[in-house]
Amino acid sequence: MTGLFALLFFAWMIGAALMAIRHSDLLQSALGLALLSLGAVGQFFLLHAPDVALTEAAIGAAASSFVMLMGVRQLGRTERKELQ
Amino acid sequence: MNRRIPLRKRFRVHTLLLIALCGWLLMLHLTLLLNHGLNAPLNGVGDIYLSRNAETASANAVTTVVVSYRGFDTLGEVTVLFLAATGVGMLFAGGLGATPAFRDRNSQPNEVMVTGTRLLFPTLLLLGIYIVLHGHLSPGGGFQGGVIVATAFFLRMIADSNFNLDHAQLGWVESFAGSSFVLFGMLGLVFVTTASFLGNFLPHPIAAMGQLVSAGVIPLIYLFVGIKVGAEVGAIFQDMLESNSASSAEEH
Repeated sequence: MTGLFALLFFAWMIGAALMAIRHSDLLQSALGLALLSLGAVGQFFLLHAPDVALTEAAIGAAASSFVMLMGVRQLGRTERKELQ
Repeated sequence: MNRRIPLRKRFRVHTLLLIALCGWLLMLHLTLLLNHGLNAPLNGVGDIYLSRNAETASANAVTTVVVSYRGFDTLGEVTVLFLAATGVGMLFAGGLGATPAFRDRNSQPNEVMVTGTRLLFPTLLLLGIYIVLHGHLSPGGGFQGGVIVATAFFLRMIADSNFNLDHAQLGWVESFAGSSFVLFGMLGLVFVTTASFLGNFLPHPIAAMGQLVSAGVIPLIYLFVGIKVGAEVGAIFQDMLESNSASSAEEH
């Protein structure tokens, strides 16, 4: 059962990471990063580390996504190719 | 055409190595979860900490390590966070605001945000304070709870453009918490019974383990860590929001 959940969270994390990379809309990319952190929260919980899971939920999923969203608000939502 | 290019140029070696590393980590993680590692007998420093955890009467062994056995490291971490907050403040204070093209159409927060924050703000505040105060009983503690409190205030700042955290007050709160942390460590050094930095000089009977008032000095120190972390992260958020509104004022 634990292994099933772990695989589910892996699929979740990989999907979220792909979403963060592939989307040209930066708002969706930031959302993908937040979802990736949420998957990591599940993984840490499965590994019997609730303290780390709580830290990841507070900092990875909430606080760092806020920072990303502030960046998106400043730079605009569309990915500008000339920056690459 | 393709054959003239050498093999190492056709494939990106770094990408392949990165993928192989990720795959190896995934396999490692899966073996750890599926077969062994969770129930295997541990030996090493973690095992000793776990067996000695009862002497601090803190129900959460992680908190014991973070605040008591490795309390000096925690002081260092809080200092690193303080430096990060200072760096963010300096970065946003020095005229960076002119360069980014500001494309926000409406600086007025929308109705969903305002109403949702009205619901979420007290809940998040309560959750954060709960996590800080129960750091020695349940998962979490000063760092996590402090960040949650700061997040609650950040939501409030977004939803209400008149709501601002005063930097001077934040600085006072932060230095009070930091000095109290060091003071408690020094007190542990002064008292003869502990005679070590961050020693647990308050009474911590093992019978009280699991109660809110237990584990002596550990919950007090974690409370100070929580206040300090909350003030620092709140200052970071405030800096970012201020730079945002400053650049929007330039635009309009």
